[in-house]
Parts: sequence; C-alpha cells; structure tokens
Amino acid sequence: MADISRSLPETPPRQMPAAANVPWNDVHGTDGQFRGHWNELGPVIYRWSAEERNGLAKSAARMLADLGTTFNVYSDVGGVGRPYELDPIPLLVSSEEWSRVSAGLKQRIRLLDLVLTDLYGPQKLLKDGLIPPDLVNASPAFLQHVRGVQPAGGHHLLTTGCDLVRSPSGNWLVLRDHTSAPGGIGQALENRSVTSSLLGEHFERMRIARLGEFLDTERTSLQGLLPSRGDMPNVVFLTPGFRHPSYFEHAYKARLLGFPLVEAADLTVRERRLFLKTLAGLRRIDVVVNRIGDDGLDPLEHWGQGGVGVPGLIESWRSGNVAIANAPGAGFCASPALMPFLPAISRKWLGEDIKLPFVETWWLGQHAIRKKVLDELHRFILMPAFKSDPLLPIKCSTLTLSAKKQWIATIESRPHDFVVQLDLTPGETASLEKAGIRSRPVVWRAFTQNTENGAVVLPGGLARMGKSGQAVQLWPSHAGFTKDVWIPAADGDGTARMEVRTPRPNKDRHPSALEVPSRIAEQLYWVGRYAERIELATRLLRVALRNLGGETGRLQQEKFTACLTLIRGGQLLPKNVIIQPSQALKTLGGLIHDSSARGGIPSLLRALLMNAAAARDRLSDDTWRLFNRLEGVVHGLGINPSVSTLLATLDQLILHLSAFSGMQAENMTRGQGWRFLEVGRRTERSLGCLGLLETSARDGNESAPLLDALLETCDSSMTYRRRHFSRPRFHEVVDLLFHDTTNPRAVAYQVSVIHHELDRFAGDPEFGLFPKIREHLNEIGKFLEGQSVDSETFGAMSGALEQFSDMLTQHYFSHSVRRVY
Amino acid sequence: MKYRLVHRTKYTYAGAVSVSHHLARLAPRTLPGQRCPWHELEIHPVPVGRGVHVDSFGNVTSYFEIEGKHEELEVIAHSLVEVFPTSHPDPMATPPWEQIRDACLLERLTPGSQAGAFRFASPMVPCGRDFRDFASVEFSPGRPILAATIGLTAKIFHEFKFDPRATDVSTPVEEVLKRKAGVCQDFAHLMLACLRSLGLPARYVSGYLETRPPPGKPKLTGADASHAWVSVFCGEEAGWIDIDPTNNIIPGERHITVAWGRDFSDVSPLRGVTLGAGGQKLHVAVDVIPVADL
Repeated sequence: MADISRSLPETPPRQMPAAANVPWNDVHGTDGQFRGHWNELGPVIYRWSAEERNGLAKSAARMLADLGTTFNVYSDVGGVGRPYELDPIPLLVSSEEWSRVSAGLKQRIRLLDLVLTDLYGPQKLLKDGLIPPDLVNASPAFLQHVRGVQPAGGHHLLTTGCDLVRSPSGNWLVLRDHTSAPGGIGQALENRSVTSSLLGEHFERMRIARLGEFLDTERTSLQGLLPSRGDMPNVVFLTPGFRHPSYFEHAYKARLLGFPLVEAADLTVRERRLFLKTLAGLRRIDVVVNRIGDDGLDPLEHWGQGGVGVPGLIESWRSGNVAIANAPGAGFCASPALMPFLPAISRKWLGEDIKLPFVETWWLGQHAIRKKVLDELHRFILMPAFKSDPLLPIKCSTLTLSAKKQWIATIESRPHDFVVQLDLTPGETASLEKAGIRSRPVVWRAFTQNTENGAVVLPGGLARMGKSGQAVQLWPSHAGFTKDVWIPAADGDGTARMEVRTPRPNKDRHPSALEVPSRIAEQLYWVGRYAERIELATRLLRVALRNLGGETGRLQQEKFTACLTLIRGGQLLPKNVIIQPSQALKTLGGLIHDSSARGGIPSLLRALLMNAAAARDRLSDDTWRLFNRLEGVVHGLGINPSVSTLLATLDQLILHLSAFSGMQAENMTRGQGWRFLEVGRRTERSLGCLGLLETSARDGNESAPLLDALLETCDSSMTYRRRHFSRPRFHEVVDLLFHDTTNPRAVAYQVSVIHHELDRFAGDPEFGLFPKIREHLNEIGKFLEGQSVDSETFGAMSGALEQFSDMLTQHYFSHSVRRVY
Repeated sequence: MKYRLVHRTKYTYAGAVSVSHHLARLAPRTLPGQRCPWHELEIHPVPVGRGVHVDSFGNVTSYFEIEGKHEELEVIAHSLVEVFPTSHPDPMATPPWEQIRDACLLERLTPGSQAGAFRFASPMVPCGRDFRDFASVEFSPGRPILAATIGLTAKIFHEFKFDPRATDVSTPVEEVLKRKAGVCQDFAHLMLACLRSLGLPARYVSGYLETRPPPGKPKLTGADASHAWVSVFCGEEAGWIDIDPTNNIIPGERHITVAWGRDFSDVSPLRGVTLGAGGQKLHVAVDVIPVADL
C-alpha cells in the first residue's frame, strides 16, 4: 500500500494553538514603540481627541452613504442586509511585507490556474497522486459538465481573491481563496475614495500605492479574452441582481470598468452565440464577467437551480464563442480542502517552493490524516470542505464531550465533507472606536489577476475587522467593519502612480443601443403600470371610505354600494365577494394596510418597488427616496385603523404618487426608458378607466350615485360640473372619460399619448412586430370613433389594449423575433 | 441481437414558445458489447443552432436551439444497434464487497479508484444510514460483491411495487424507500443510494429494453419504453457489471445502453429550457425493433 502515502499533504511546521498565544500587534512592537510602517500615522491616530474620532467616523459613514445611496437598494427591498461600515484608519502593509506577499500571490494564481487546467483536462494530478481523487469526486464544486472545455482566453482564473491573516509571529498566512466570483474589489475602491480624502495629507506624504492601474489592466485583460472578435469586444458584467448583498459593489465596479451591468434575463443564446437583449435588438456579447458564481449560470447544464441563468451559455462557452471570467467550475479551488496539497504541486510542477504559507489546514478525507487530527481536535475549527453547513464552522475546543463524540461519528461517516483549520489567533491592528484607539483582529483580502504579461496584484485590498477572541473562520462574511489597505512606498521608491481613473469613453459602435437593456425598459414599463394601478386603487378606496363614515342617509348608502360595485369592477376585490355592511370597514381597510391582502395596496406597492429596484440606476435618487416613503405610508397603521386614519393615509398616498408623476414629467430625460414608463402608465390608466366604464355600463348606467363615484375616482367631478351644471348623465360622463382628448384622465387622451410615444421608440420601425403594433394601436383608436358605448365595447377595448401590451413585451422584451447587429 | 431504434419525444406546449434550448443524450454508446453503426436525430421544427460534444462520462451529447414561435417540439432519434452476448463472472467468484470499498480509498488515480467518481452522493442520489440499513442484510461481511448486489436487486424487486402513479421524475429517493413503489428510474436511484451508502461505486445507466409481445400477438408500435438500470464496479478483473432492479436480471442482449452518469440528472435523454410556455404535455414512444441485418 505504498501508494497511500503518495498524496498525503506534507506536514507544515506545527502552528501554535490559540490559547498559547498573544496576537501580533501591527502598530506597536513588543517594546511598545511604533513599528516602522506606523511611524507616520501611529502618533497621529493616538493624538485624536474624542471629538476628532467621532467626526472622522461620522464623515466616513456619510461619505460612504453618499456613494452607497447610488447603488444600495437591497436594504430597502427585502431587507437582505445593510451597507458595511468603514473604519477610516487603514490597514498598513509595509513595503517589505508587500513585496513578499505579492510575489506569493502571483505564484498562487499561477498554481491554482494550473490545477484547474489539469483537473478539467487530463487529471494528471490525480494520476500522479498529488491530489486525492476523492477530493475532486466528492466536491459538488467540481463541475462534471464543463470537463474538457478549453476556456476562451486560456485561463480559468482571471481574478482571484485571497484572505490573509497574520500569525502570532506576524507572518501573513493564507486563510482561504476566492476563485469563483471573487467579491470585494468594488468595496475596496469605495473605501479608498473615502479614506484617501479623509486622511489625504498622510495618504500623500506616505506615497500610498494607487489602485487605478489594476482596474485599467483588468479592463484591458477582459477586452482581450476573445481576440477573434476584434479590438472592440463587448463585455458585460453579470450580476445576480439587486437582491444580492453585493449588488452595490457590482454596480460600482461595473461603472468603473465601463461595462454594462446585466442580469441573466438580459442575455440570450442564439446559434451558440451570446447576445444582450436591448431595445434596438440583440447585441453580440464576447466576454462575461461572472459575478453569479458557478451555480446559476446555465439551467440547461446545471441541475437543480430552478431555471435561473442563461440557457445555452455553457454551450456557447464550450464552442469558444464567448469568454467567461472566471471560468465556470473555477469555484472548485475555493475549497480549503485543496490548500494542504498545494505545496507539493508547486514543487513538482512549478519547480518552486510555495511562497505564501497557509493557516494549518487538513482535509479529513484521508485516513492517516483523519486519525492524527481527531486526536487533537481541540486545536482546530471544524469546517465544511465543500457545501455550506448550517452547523459549521465550529470551534472544537468549545465542544462538550458528547457533542464531540457526535461530530466524530459524523466525520467518520462522510469524512470527505470536512476540513479542519487551526484555531489561530489572528494578528490585530488599530481600530477607531468611541472610547479611543483599540486593537482588533483583521483579515486582508488581496486581489490578483492574470494578464498577458503575467500576474498582477492589487496594491491594497479590503480589510475586514472582527472581535478579539472570536475565531477568524467564524466571522460572518457580510457584516462588520472594513478598512482600506495602504501600502506605503519604501524610501527612495519613486514610482509614478495613478489615481483611479474613470474609463475611457467607450468607442462603441452603437452607443445608444447599449443604453437601455430590454429588461430595464420592461421594468420601467411595469413601474408605470403599477404606479397607475396603485393610484386608481387609492382613489377608489378613498371615494368609498368618504361615503362610509358619518350619517347614514339613504343617499350615502347608495353611493357606498355604488363604490363597492366599482371596486369589484376595478378588480380590487374578487367578483363573488359579498361585503356585509358591518364588515365593510374591515375589508376595505385590509386592502389599505394588510400586506397579505391580494390585490391590496401593500402588495401593489411591493410589486412597484421590486420593479423599481431592478431599474434602480435609471431612477433619480429623489424618485427612489419617494418610493421608499411610499412603503412607509401604509406601514404601522395598527390592526383596526379608523376611517379618518385610513383616509389620511390615502390622501398621503395620492400626494406621493402625484409627486412621482411630477418628477417623471419634470426631471427625467426623455430617453427610451422614460418612454416605456410613460407608455406603461398610459396603458394602465386606460385599462383602469375602461374597467370602471364597463362596470358602470353593465351595472346601472342610470344610477347617479355610481356615476358620481366614477367621476370622483377619475378626478373629473369638477370638470363635469363646470361643463354640465347637472346631475351626472351616462352619455355625458362617457364623453368626458372616454372620448375627450383634452381630459388627461380620459381613455382617448391616453391612446393619443401612446401613439405619440410609439413613433419615438428605438429600433427599425419596419422590423418585426412593430408594424403590427402600430396597426393594432390604430385599431384600438377606432373604438373611440365609434358611437357604441356599451359594456361590450369597453370590454373589447380592454382586451385589445392587453393584447397591445403583450405585443410590446414580445417585440421589445422577450425578443422572439431575432434582430442581430 | 440487432435492432432498429426509434425514440420519439413530443412536447406540446400550452402557450407558444418563442425560444428553446435543449440537450439530448439519445445516441447509443459504443462499447465492447455493443456497437452503433448509425444514429440520427430528426428535430421539428428545424433547429437554428446545433452542437455535439462528448460529456465527461463519455456520452455523446447533442445541443440544439429552436427559434421562432412553436407550439410543438418533436425529436425523433433513429439508431441501429447491435448488442453482443456477454458473459458474466460467477457471482461467488467476485471479490468481497469490502475489498472494492477499500480499493476506492486509494489516494491516487488507478483504474479502480477512477470508479471512485461514482461512489458519492449526487444531485438526485443522497447517501445515508436508511439506505445502508436497507442494504446491509444482503451485504454481510465478506460476501462477494456481485452476489450481494444480486441479492439487493432481488430484494428491491420483491419488496417494491412497479407503479407509475406512485412517483414522478422529481420524487426523492427517500420517498421511494418509504412508499415501496416506483418505476425503473426510482429503483435505479434507490439501488445507487444503497450501494453508495456502503461506499461502493455504482452508476446510473439509461437505455432501452426490448419488450416481447405475448406469444402469437403482433408487437405494437410504440410499446417499448426508455429504461434505466445500474452498473456496479466489481473490481479490476470483473469491471463494471450491469444489473436491472426493475426486472431482477443481469442485462443481456435485450438491454441497449445509451448513456451513463451519476444519476438521471447526468443522462436525461432530453432536457430543455423554453421561453414562453406555460405548461407542457409530453408524449414519448419508443420502438425497439429486432432486425435481421443492420
């Protein structure tokens, strides 16, 4: 059985367990003096007064918030998280340390890339016994379906992240690698823009390395990944969407790189080529920056991801028509299980010793290792090797005897699923706190990229802070304070360094085409429709409630009944629901404040916000703030709000919605996005009005209370009274709400606006469904010319408008007819 | 035996589909005991984009896209296949099952440990104590692997009811074990779960089984079906041996192998992602027609 020992990892020098250790203090040496790289900043931070500290913390938070409001939407919708906070004191890495670590990181990306190339190819590493086959076979991150694919551009890894931690003796050790969709560069750049201005004087004097060049190189590398597509390839930045905790960072980085931020739904594969759906048609895409990760890229090839992703993307990549960075399947290398095997691979395949030491780590899939580790389990943190496990990681020294027994049994039953890592005392650095400067443990995420001319390391990075005494493996990944990472120039180091630069203007062949991806247009279309739907519901409910309270004269009761008829007609309530007078307040109130009421205002608001959030970067900050407030209006009304409270709420809603229409009218550029918002609004308003007219015509066209309520809902009572000085009569009401092209609430008015905007839509007017859409709209116009004003006419026109909406969707959003350019 | 195969799959969509992407694994494999001199995919409507690659398990995989409104998709796989008689080792002469399990633990890639790719849980096959307990009656210490596997096959065959209404494609194996009923896919997954829970490499095989009409009756068109069984690794010498828990037999000339993988998700004959359809109706008809000559 000589083979067994072949792939056993080498034993690194035994690292000391936590208990026996004092953390490395980066600021002060054991003699209490500032360490060399702290000579400039050290004395400064300790001189800060409480007010200065407070002021700095506040400024950092405000500056970050200013950057964040542009992108941070997820905290408002769905509440996934909140923006990270920033400690303005940077993590300092001396230039000697930097040259050592950066050399190590350059070697590491080369090594990991080599591992991936081999494992997804000939698997010599397994035959040579350098990696145990089980480590690959048991890993769900090893994607069987991409084995054998040669990634366009040659590399599996374009950018990697590496978490580093200081050992008690001050050495930087690798804690873990991020290889699938390494996040944090955007955050690092945001932090840099804040700290470099807060501590600008020191930043300049210490000649801190600039980050801009890394980004420029990354842009160039990405553009060069598919050389066959010429020198102006189209690159997109693929994000999981606004619900993802890192969405703001994706948006920030995409903007700095100058690539459009897209979601899977924006992309489509046709004839094994990748395209972006834009309003002007399909646009060929050459390179994808993958921030989705390995799961969720292609539902056709990857089982069990619920249909999300771009069907055909893997095939497109397989056939060399698109480059994806990092390559699908690269996430395999992020498993800590691989770490102990890297030194031997480095020596055998690169002919070099591994330069960066790592935190003592063992994969438990091998019997001999497992035996050794289980004997001294208390030294370690137990972690999942591959998949996340809700019970892990766990600090073994805190386990009770019986819990430990249970864990050992679980490990023995599926040992390949576990890894242990030393419970190490992470090095600490200075942290800005209310009470003064404190010492806190810190992890540095460094970033490396592969380029044509070898690997490049970002001279900086993202530092995360933790609590003293908490094992670093147990820190939550999306919380806590972060820091900028500063690398001061060594004496006599006079390299010219650049600022973060905004991207060169994109010499795009069709600059306007990329301007509005179809999805954004679709989302704006629905923002328009929902805003209008909410307004109609609000007005209907307001009229009803106004007639509910007070004295119960016969007239009022009749009008209330009429309102209920309209509410049903407006589909706010299911047709068969009978409202008992005693229950009326409760039922109607529920539509206003109960978030579980179907079709009620809270659920419509949610739909509005979801659509708005996804089109976030097309809406002004003011608009966004308004939307946030909208949600607040209906919250916290209590269980049984009174009529007057409900009416006040509805009034407030109407005001907010009017403010939104005002902003749309006054502050939004008349681009393609605006046009879809407007058409959505007009379509919905027509549909709403037609629904009410249909109900009135069917359920009592002579009833004055109903016509009264109808006019009030459509905000046209005043106009009617001014024109007719009489009780409402059906034909006059229809005239005002249906035929009148001067009444901004009338159907005819909406249709003429839609006509007007349609003529200004992007794209070839003779292409695809567009001629049909125009023809269809002309047909809709004929309803307005005819003299019949019965419920059938209104119903038929509603149907025709819904059809119009479907045709728009088909032509502009789903791209069922191909148009390639 | 020589066969002409026709495998028709027809999707009827509830709404019109504007774009669809598909992966097909319908081409019979070429193996020591089987050859496939001719295979062709007939697709309606005509695809706009096509590609063929061999997946990481050696299965020929066809990719195609349909563009433009369609309410139906029909895929007809035509093949000619010859299956040769193969001999199987004496079950009692195969190595003890523990020896196979331990051989997979070898820490470098040897032909035997290559089988190790099939000994872990996979998307549709979990591992766990329930499965191990279910199988352990047959896997007594030292029992030869093939003998034990045959025992497990018989156990599943006798204790489980073949009932297409008991399960569907998405029924988890744990449920199959509870309900004691299912179809060939369920029995294959259950058997894989049992074998892998014991640490043994086993793979999912998709293919066809020639059915024979009752004596004197003509064979009906479309009467056959796609079928699934498992293959278990019995050591370097015996290699992989197929076994069919649905019929309690070791496959012979009437079993035609199309593809293998860790479970159904690796080899599903036809997968698709459509844009625009609501629901869909699926109609499958398979003909396995014995022929005199290819």
